[in-house]
Amino acid sequence: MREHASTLISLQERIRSYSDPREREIAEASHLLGGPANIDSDRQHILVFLHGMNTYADWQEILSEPIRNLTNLKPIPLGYGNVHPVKFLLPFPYRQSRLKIVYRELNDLREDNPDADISVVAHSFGTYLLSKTLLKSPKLKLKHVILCGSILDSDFDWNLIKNQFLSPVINDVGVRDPWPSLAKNWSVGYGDSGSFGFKKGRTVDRFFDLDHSGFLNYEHAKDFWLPLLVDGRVIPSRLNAQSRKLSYWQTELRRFSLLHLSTIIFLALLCWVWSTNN
Amino acid sequence: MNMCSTKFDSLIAEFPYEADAVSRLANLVDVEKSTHIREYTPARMYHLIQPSNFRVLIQMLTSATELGLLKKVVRVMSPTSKLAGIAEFDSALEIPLTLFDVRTGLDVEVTTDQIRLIYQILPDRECSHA
Repeated sequence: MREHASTLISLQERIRSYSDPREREIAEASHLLGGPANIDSDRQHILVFLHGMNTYADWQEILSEPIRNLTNLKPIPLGYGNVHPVKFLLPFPYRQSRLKIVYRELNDLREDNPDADISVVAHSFGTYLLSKTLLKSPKLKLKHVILCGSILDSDFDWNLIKNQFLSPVINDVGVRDPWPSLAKNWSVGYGDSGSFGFKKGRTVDRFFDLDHSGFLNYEHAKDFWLPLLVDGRVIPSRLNAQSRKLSYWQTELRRFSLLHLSTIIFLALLCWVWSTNN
Repeated sequence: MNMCSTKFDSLIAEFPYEADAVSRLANLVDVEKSTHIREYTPARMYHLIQPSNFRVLIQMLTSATELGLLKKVVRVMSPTSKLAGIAEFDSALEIPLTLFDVRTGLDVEVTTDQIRLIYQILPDRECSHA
């Protein structure tokens, strides 16, 4: 009889050891169904971190350790060197050389792990390289795609690659992030979906009061990425539309582009020529 | 719009990759099918709903419970008759070490193999009248 009681006490202690209410529910069900082995998927799930420009991306390693220890995910930091902002803005030839690396690495990973699920978290320039890689390799199948600080065009046609990932793509947007707008306005081939969202059927935009790199920490990963990657559960952002409204000047600064600057310089030159001739 | 369908829409928004499984759950929950309480074990739910895995199933059922679409019950069965419950709780954490079994008239010490996790579909749920 004492053994029975201790079993119930031990079950309750195991359930109580989970502080998160959701994890507690899962633990309870798991133990009542006969143990954790009955509840977790045993399929290997690889999580690729793809970084942005002008960084060696320490966040990849910082996030990898707790994720490896606490989940069944196998994190893999994928790097392609530190891309200087000037190289980032130039259309040629640097983008292609970085694309070759990401294309090769992701396709190798798929080939080496044919039965595993592969999900990708891509940040900034990494979102651009990921989209190009998917367009170039129709056989590359991914599970989840999470973008943050995305520099893809908001009109990017996800239907072109719709069979290569589970819809929807998650797009985490930082409302204090001007970089996607700057990338769009001061170069070619980039967009501002990381500042304003895609607003398309195959994507879910989540808005956060964060800057360009504000997503790259364990707190954000734990609260918003892991529920998706582990359970396919989309946790909505708590930021409402009103609180993410930008001021007039913030909006205008984000609109200011190479075209505007060229126009101002041209008009200034015209004025200077006119004034010197009179 | 039917409040039930609104709740299932929010469930699909939460589990967009399990939309088919959520649809199957919606069919199961359809109140037109029955006027009495229907009960399912998680294993039966897994068979009927066919989500990606058991962990996802429990997440979905927990959300459906929070939305009022289902009711979760942790039932302690009688040690003398495995088909008869002697008490019900919201969580296994609430189960006392001993319970009075009306069938035998005795206090029984609760063992983990007497505990069942059940999900109920109630006919008078909020969404059924919206």
